Amino acid sequence: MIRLPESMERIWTMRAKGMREIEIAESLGISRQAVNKALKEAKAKLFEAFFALAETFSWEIVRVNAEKGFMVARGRCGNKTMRVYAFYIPQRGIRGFFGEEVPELILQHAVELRIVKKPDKKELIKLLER
Amino acid sequence: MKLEGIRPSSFSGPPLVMFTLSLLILLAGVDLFPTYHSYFWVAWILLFASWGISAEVSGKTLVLKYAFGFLKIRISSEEIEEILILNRLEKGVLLRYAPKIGAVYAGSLIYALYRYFTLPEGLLLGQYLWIVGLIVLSSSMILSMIIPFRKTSYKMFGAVIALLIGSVLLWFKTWTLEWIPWLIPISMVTLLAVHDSSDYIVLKTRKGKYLLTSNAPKDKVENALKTIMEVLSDD
Repeated sequence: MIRLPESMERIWTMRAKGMREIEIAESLGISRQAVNKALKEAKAKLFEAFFALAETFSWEIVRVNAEKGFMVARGRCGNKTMRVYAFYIPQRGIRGFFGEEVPELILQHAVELRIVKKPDKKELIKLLER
Repeated sequence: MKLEGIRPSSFSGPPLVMFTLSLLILLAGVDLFPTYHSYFWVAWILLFASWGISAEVSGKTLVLKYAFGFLKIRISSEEIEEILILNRLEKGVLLRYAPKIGAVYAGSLIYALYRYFTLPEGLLLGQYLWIVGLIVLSSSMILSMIIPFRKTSYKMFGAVIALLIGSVLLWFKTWTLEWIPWLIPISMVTLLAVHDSSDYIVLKTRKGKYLLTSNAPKDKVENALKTIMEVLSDD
């Protein structure tokens, strides 16, 4: 499974949680340029990972967000066409689910990254679909 | 490389300014210079200039061409944080991604309503048709921007309601039915504008959002999406 290099992942996660580049640079003791470069590379890698995933399973892409690290797609599950949601979770890689069966791990991750304010499965799906 | 079948929209930036200016010139021109028609051409030129001509990929940059190819907006792949196909979202509404064009339509609706209620009775039919047509079209466009893409029947229903209200407004000003034949072109323009089967591709950057539209067959849209994805991906 695709994973970002450790230091890049740390920087990307801090940014995804809402920290500014300058704050990340100060807290890690590196230059702002280094943070910016790592973020650009992380975004490109995440885009590539999600596109590759969709292509592998012949999913039709609906949206890919490299800033928060998630993808919404349409794919087949058995005989039915369903929504597929995939998230990049630090230290774990990409995790996904079909329909509205949001795993707790993803819900907690979505709260940590401020995609949703509270752990509400319906709210998360609603936010991803609008 | 040109993205076949894809056109940038005029929903933000300088193209939106040109679109708004053309609308302002048309609206103000009718009132301020009813017998002087040169402004009309300026408005049309601005309107055509606001339309996106094409979208191209040049290295790791997306180039959006407007104003007959003279205006180029460049978006570096590094700036893009999100790509989404708006009409594929379950609850995707255009207003969320293009609020400024919504404000332009709202402005024209407010202006048209103001003009309608200040117009005296007994004027030429064309003057009422122009104002009521504007009310119907702008209200239908606002409705279609706030109703999710997948609810086409709701959008059409909204447009029909707007047409009915428009008919009542015409009746109250003219007290005749001689405007009925004119309802056909107004209805056709409104329903065509509302029945939008385009694909909308949104590119979200930190600076703002860019909207690409396409009426091309699905395979062309998919090819264009693949090209954009290649630009966004790591080498």
